[in-house]
Amino acid sequence: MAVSAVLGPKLPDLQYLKRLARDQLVHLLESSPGRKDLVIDPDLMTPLDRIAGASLLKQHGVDKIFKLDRTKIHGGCDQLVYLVRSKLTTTKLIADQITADIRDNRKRKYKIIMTPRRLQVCDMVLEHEGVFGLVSIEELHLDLIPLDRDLLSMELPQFFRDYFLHGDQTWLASIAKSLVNIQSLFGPIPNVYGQGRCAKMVADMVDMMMSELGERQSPVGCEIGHLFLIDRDVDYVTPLCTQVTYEGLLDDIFGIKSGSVEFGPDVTGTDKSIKIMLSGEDEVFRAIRDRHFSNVFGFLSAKAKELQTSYDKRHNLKSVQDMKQFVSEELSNLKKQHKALTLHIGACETITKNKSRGDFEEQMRTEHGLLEGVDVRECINFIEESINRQHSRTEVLRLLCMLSSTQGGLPSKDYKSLKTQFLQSYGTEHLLTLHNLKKLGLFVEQQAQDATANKLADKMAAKLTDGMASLQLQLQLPKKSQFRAVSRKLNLIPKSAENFELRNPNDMAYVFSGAYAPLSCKLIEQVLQREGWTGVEDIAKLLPGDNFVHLKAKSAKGKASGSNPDSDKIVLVYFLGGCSYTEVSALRFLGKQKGYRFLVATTALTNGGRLIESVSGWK
Amino acid sequence: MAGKDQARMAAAAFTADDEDYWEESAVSSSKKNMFDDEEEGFTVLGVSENKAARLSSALRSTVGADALFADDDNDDITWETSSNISNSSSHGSITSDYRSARYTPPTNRSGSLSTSSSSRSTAATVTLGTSQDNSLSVQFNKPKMTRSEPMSLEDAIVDVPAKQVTATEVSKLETEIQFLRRQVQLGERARWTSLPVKETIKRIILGQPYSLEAYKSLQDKLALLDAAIKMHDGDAITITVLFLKKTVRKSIFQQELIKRPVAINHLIHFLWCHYDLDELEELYKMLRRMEDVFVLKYKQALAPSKAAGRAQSIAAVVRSFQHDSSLAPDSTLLLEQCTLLQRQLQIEEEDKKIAAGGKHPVFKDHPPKAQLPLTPLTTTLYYCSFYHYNESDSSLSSPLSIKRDFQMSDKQYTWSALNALAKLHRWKEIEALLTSKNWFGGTKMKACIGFEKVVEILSKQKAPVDILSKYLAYIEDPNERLALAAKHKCHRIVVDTLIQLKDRAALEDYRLKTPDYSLERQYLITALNNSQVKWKN
Repeated sequence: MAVSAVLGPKLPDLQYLKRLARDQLVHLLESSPGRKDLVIDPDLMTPLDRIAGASLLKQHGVDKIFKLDRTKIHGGCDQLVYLVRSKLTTTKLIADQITADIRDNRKRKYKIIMTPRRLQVCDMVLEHEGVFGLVSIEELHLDLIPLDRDLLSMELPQFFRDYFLHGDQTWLASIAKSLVNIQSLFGPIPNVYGQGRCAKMVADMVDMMMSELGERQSPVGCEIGHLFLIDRDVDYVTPLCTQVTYEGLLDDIFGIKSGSVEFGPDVTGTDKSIKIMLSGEDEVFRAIRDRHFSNVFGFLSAKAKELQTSYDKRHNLKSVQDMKQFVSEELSNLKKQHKALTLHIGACETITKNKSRGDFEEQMRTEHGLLEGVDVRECINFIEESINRQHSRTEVLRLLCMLSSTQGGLPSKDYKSLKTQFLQSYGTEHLLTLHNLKKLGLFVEQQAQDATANKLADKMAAKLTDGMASLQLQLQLPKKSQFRAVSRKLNLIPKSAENFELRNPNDMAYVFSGAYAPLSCKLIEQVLQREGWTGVEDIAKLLPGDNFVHLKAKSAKGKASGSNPDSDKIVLVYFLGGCSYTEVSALRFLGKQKGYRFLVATTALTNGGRLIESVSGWK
Repeated sequence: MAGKDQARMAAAAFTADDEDYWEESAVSSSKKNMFDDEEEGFTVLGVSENKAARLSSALRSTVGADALFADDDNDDITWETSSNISNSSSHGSITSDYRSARYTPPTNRSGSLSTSSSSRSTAATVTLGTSQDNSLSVQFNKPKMTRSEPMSLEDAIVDVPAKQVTATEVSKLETEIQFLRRQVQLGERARWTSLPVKETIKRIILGQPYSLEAYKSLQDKLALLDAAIKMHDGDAITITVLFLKKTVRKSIFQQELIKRPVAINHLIHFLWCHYDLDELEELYKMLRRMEDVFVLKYKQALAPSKAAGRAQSIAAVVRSFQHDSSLAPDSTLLLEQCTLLQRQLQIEEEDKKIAAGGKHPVFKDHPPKAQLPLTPLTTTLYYCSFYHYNESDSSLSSPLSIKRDFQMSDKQYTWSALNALAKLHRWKEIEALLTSKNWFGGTKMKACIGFEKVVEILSKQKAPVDILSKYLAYIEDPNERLALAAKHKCHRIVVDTLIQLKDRAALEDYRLKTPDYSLERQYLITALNNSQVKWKN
């Protein structure tokens, strides 16, 4: 395709993953013949849309489709298939429903398809509830779902809470498995870098699983040259920032779910809502998704004019032949673009409206102040005012966490005052939420001890073994992010924010209006450039968790025949705990700048709001 | 009836091996009876072809073709058959004859074989069970599936040794027998000797069958847990920690658990998801994590959905932690919540009466839309400012008494009061709110939240221009004042500010923004003509 020629190295075709998952699902459905009712976990509804539509399910024997909740499943078939995330609570719910069926003297066959993996604890719950013998349990290996040509997601937002808040490592094996799958499809990845405890554990598990598979000669050459695993807690600040790229704004304002977005009547200009798939296949969207918002509207209006000209061509058609060609070839394409354009312009309007409300500018000023570490007192005043005025709770918490993360915790006095006022404005029940944020190290009180001692403690913790590291987590020593120091070392704050070039950016910081370049992406840039951590040790030691690198020797053997010669330029970045659309944009920018092509994989796409909500302790 | 019981027994013993089988036997117990009747009629059971055919047709006639045993459903039928046979074999029925004819090992051998296969509930040995089952189903499947063809396997069964069996076939079968025997022996041994811990954990991670039963010594159990931790899989860690918990004395369990923080995390998360909150509390206490106990108890205390009940349960939490000084700050917050809940209940009760009286102007014009109890403190303050602004501060519902009793800041108070009063368009009271007396009895306008915010709130509630102008004048920064005044069309303030800034050019420009022939236009022109001002342009 022309596009790939422009963008450099060719990406592996991620659609394989989709086909594999779909085939497996079909197989699982067909393996018990006859009609069946299907009960789907609400968490899986949207992700499943990317793999298989309702019509596909119906083609393979599914009669009625239900959503799993507390209500009784009726349905007319004598087979009931549950398709669920493997979770204890879900399993219990299913067991309850089966028990209710038994009580009602209703007989049917049950099959539970667990995804991404069958868990032994779930088996145990079924055994405990006395229904184990009544169900057959299957696995659907639905791990990484391709959301775009360069974007993969496990669509597992709860991983963030489970692992980072509770220290539960249950999903790690599935993450590792997803990497094993990727490597069996696209060849082994020779160079692996990682930062964070979880990254290290996942890498260990991948090694174990690969060796279990044996040194099987992979039929495919190596298509991906590098893998970078990064824990979300290495950089909390970036996802907490308000997004200002077009796709980021769409996510913040409309909420992107598994790569599709629903525009309400205010965008469509009709009384209907429209759901569209956001992907690089849409030419208009591809051109604007990564742009700074200020640079979107101009493009759209130019595009609209261009479109008009193309439409006008129809007046100058000389012959029937021309006419035929226009109608058959250009018109449908024009119409498609026209439709996309209308929606994106509508979306821009809504975004503008949304952001022109009173204090948006003040909020941006506050965020930039926090990132730069200037006028912090004013920032605190703004946050306090937002609390007193009972502005959106999630927004306030986001700012509080940003404040704490950039400052390395709050001075005792500020911490207590903000905490008290927050609870007064939003209800004491949110003590539970604040407790969670404290555990995560997102909203914490500065300890009295001096900074050097703190640094030492961090350093020690990083060097200790797994067990001890989480002992530290448990003792709730503040996990100081040392954001300021890292920011200086990685040059995250551009020198002159004033004359920043947003239209033709030459600095990654454009994704945040020239105020800040994402820590995660800058770190990745540095490590890739150095092919390891040598030279960035002083930065790495300020980040939570350990770092590691496994490089395969760059001998002639490494460049085995069949290897894609471009593979060295293809980098898979795996965010453990979620990544934001802004980070994806920043990596695309970095790719263009340095000649890489990035594939982004993540446990879920996140943003400040969802990150905060996911660890809320009270609704 | 005996057949039915047998089927149940077999089913109960089978569990891990094959759920399909389980289900079939459980669901179709009535068919079982019919089976047995049939079986008694047999003299030569080896004719499995006939049997299978007859069975399937009998099944179809009773169940109807639509049910589980559809025409193409070979597997189900075979399962029924094979399970019946292997089951009765242990009772020395004809089946075992058939079996011995085929397999040569003595009857008791095959009996123990089927017992061991069916009593497998654990994983290490499931491989064996499966392999045997497979071979059984192969035997029965084959004749049935390829009914019309001549079948060497079946011939071998029926007419051994009379019929011509090729040497290769015999040797093939013998190899198979050898193989199965070895498997049985291996399985027997494997059942009582444990796999290396690492292997077992690997099996859990890779979703293969496994068994923990064989890990009897404490060292083994701990090694198992440590291997799970070392290999990072949460599922394996949870399973092994629960296994340890179940199989050793509590004190040993606790003593070992405490050394393994990762295991603690997994156990805690399991207990949360499993709603074993009492046990969780005990665990936290054992670990001396009092803050977690506190949070857990508080979370439980929030369960009542009615204010009164919630106040009670929270008060109980506060009482039980009153001696824990490290939790004092949070306890205080909870105590305040109790006080607030009780106060809200009292206020609401009073207000219901007032509203019912129908005389109170605010209640009459703006009947409360939502319930007061369970709202946050700030909302309560707003509510009281809205309905009870002028009450003396000895009243429970007076906003000032709330501010005092809950030690709220001036800012918090001003935001709530101002919002409430502006909504009610009570401009005079707003003025009083923003007026502070100094020591000498003089007065001064003061807004702790800043006059620009005052203007913002008032303009949102559509305050008249003269009211807005009054507060605009107090905004200190002239540029900010100018922008806001222009935005809200308070022309006099704009003019005054431009004079202050000595910006004649801007004043000239502004002339057209004022309405023609208005007092403001005149005021502006007067200012332009004022020779006292030293214009900068």
